[in-house]
Amino acid sequence: MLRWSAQETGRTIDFSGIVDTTVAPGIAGGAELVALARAAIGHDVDAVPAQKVASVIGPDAAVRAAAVAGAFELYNRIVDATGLPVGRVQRERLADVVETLGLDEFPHAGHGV
Amino acid sequence: MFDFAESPFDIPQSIADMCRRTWEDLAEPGTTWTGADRIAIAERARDTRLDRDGETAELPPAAVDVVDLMSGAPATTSREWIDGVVAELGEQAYLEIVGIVARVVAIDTFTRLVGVAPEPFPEASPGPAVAEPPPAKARKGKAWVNMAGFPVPPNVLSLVPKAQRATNLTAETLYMTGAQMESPDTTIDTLHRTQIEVVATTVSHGNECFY
Repeated sequence: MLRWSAQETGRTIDFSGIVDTTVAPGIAGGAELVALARAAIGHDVDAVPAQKVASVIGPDAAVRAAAVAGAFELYNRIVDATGLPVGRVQRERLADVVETLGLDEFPHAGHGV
Repeated sequence: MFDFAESPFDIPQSIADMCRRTWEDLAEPGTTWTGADRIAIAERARDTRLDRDGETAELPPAAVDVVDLMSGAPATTSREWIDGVVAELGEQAYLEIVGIVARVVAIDTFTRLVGVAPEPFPEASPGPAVAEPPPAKARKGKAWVNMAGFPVPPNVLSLVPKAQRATNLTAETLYMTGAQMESPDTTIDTLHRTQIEVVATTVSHGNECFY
């Protein structure tokens, strides 16, 4: 989805910015959005990283980013709980992203192939 | 409930309404679990996610295992583990727990990120679970549980229709609707689709979710 959106809208994304905080993803607020998403996974109940996002790309975007982070905490759980397969075609289409992000190291990497 | 008064942000009405509706739904009798069971599942999911000890109302050990794993380490599921807990709980009961945990973690994550303390859970409504038959044409295919329709996230809990509807409401309100997903150039609340997917990809990577 990320690569599709970027390609179709003429944006250039550096996927390594997802896993390496020293690399800017290359979109407005990219580093702040990655920081917010990382905070979503962590357990720091005092963190309000959305304020950093808001300072760069606005409060409405910050709230939506927080919502998306919540949504993917949901999606990740329901697909891993049900063994939803990733098909061979999709894997092949995303081979470069899989390599950049190291996805083959993940527990369910081989499922559905 | 969910007035977001502590937040420095204006929260969209659609999100606040969905949060309230979700909490009301959690308290109601489900397809296989009572309202009290469902609130116990929700409380344990929150405690596990926050790495804190809490008093958990009595749940079957297999149900506790599901809540703990789905809250804290969802990527460590396996076909064998799922087969085991399904054999003990039943497939609908397993999937109903998954839906509850996923929704609680999603909403707790959102509220924390916008600077709000976790919303207390409501008091459980009385009454027994209300059975709902699974769809007749459910099948596993290459997935690890039975589901109806195409093997995509909006269908993975479809063996428990009530849970699937509730989970889809939460997911679509926080992320985007099916119609919005059709466009790579969508902007929601000033956040462009590419920025949305940066957040989505980072969360999924952090959870080691390959899908």
